[in-house]
Amino acid sequence: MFGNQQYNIINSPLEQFEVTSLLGLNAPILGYLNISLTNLALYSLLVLFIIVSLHYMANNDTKLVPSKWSIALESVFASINSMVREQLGKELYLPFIYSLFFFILIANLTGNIPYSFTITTSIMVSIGLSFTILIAVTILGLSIHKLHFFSYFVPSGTPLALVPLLVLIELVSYLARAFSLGIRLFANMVAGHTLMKILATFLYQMFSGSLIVAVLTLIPFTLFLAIMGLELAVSFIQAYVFVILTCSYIKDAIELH
Amino acid sequence: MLAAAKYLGAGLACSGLIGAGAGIGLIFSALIASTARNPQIKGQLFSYAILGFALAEATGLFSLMICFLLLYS
Amino acid sequence: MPQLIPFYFINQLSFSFLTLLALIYIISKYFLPLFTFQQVIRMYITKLNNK
Repeated sequence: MFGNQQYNIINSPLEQFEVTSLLGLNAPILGYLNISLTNLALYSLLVLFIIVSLHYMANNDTKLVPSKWSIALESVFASINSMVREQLGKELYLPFIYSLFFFILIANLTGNIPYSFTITTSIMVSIGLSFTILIAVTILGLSIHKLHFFSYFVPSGTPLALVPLLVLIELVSYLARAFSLGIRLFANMVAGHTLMKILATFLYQMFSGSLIVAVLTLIPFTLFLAIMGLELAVSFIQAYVFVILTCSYIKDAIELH
Repeated sequence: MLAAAKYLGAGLACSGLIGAGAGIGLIFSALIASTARNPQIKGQLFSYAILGFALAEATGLFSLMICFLLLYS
Repeated sequence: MPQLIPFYFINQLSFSFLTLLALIYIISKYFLPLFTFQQVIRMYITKLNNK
């Protein structure tokens, strides 16, 4: 009995990452067509709606004197603008970087609402995003530098004997970027949400005991609130880090070291 | 037997977090020391420190990922 | 881990990428020009004040 109960508790915390179908359409057109609105799709549409409505509400009718919301948006814009200019020198990639930042930030922040779904905890979304970025950066470098792009893998001033080894190391570290960029975001989000779920399960059990235990549980509950604050900070930092690393990869492809 | 090995492996995988903790501590100690030396570039140093913090934390979280994989899959 | 079930992989990828593309289009078409426009107007006004 006890073992069974414990098994139930210990098996639950990853359930929140499950992708389930909310509305399905199966039709035998074009082979076998299956369109379904999963909860991930619902939340990605929600993220799109939140970002667009945030920008729409905060544009302040393009008045010169800013309101509170437009000050926040303009400072975010200014910091991203300065980051892109510092690293890349031109503003061509600013729309991509800006919308990537807002997409990841709002996706992470909506995931912090209890019982909701975070779209960046899906391994396909985060790894697919980083793979797409790496492939795009490689194509960009090839189109700018043609065959000179492969001099990226040979650091300048190496003796000829060491070249095969160094090329191998550089190639592996270049390809590892594709995984590390996505897995960093994914692992941070999954670890944070799993930790919160486990702690909340423990706290629920302690709160539903006797009265004295419930009063004493208020002390670990404050710790739980602090961890929630950390989680909010992590979801901001991860969006920032993803964007800044994307910037530096684009810079590497443009300038070749 | 297999379940016991799973739990042992998960516990061992968590030991990768030692390195992440040490790394985060080093980053913030270096931030404090350099801010004390040159308080004028505090903002720039703080953004670098946050970047380093995230990178160091991610390496620890990779091992935590392995731990969760062992426990719950 | 429930993320590794491959049944909805294509669905997840297509929905998230479509959302991101739509977001990039909307932001670069409608919202980013507003920011730049506002900054240009502010610079113009400060220059007028300095004269």
